[in-house]
Amino acid sequence: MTGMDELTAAATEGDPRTGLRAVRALRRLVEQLEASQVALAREQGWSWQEVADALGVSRQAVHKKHRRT
Amino acid sequence: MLERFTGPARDTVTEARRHAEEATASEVRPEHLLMALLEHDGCLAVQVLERLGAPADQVRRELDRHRMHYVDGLDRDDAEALAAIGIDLDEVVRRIDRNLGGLRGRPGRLRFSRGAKKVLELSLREAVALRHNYIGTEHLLLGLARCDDRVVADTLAGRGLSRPALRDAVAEAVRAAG
Repeated sequence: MTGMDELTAAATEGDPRTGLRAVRALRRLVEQLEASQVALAREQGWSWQEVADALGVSRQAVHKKHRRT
Repeated sequence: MLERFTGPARDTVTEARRHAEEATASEVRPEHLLMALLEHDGCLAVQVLERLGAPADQVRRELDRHRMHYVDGLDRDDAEALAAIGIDLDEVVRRIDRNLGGLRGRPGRLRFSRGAKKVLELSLREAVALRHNYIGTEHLLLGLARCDDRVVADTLAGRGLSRPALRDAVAEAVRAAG
C-alpha cells in the first residue's frame, strides 16, 4: 500500500459518502459502456437475442433499452 | 421558463446541446452551457469575463484542460471515490479506448442533466435577485458560477473568477448597458 492509499483509506474509513459516490460513478460507467458495446455489437450484425444472452437479460429488456442505438 | 430568456441566452441553451452532441456526451451538462456561452462573441457574459481579465478564449482553454481528464460526466470526485475501492478511472478509460472501441454518446435527442437544469434554475434566481425581468447570458454565467459542477467550478476558479466578483461585474455591466 502506498502512502497515498493509506491516507485515502484513513480519510474515508467508515464514511459512506465515498462508497456511495463510487457506486454512482460505477453505475454511470456501466451505462456508458453498455450503450457503447451494444451499439458496437449491433453494427457487427448481432441480433437482439445474442446481445441479450451476452448481457444475461431478456431480449425484450435489451431491445426496450437500446432500440434507438 | 425559456420564454423569459433573451435571444442570445436562448441560443446558448440550443448551442449547448450541439456541443454535447459533438462531444458525444450522454447528456447536456453545465460544461456544455459554458462552452456555448463562451462562443457567443460580444454577449454580455463574454464582456463581463473580459472585464475581469478572463477573455473567452482563455476560459475555453482552461475548460478544455479540465474536461480532458474526465470521462463523460465523471469528474475528479468520482475518480477519487473509485480509487478508494481500487479502481483507476484513467486506466479504465484508456483500456476501454484501446480494447473496446471507446465510449460513445447516446444517439437521439440529448437530455439536460440535473446539473444543467439546475444552472438554468439558478440563472433565473440570479436574475430575480438583481431585479431583472429577463434572463440573459450574464445570468447564465452567474448560474454557472453557482452550480456545483466540478468541471465548471474548477474552470472558473482556475481563471480566478469568484462568484462575488462575477456578480459585481454583471451588475456593473447591466447598469452600463442600461
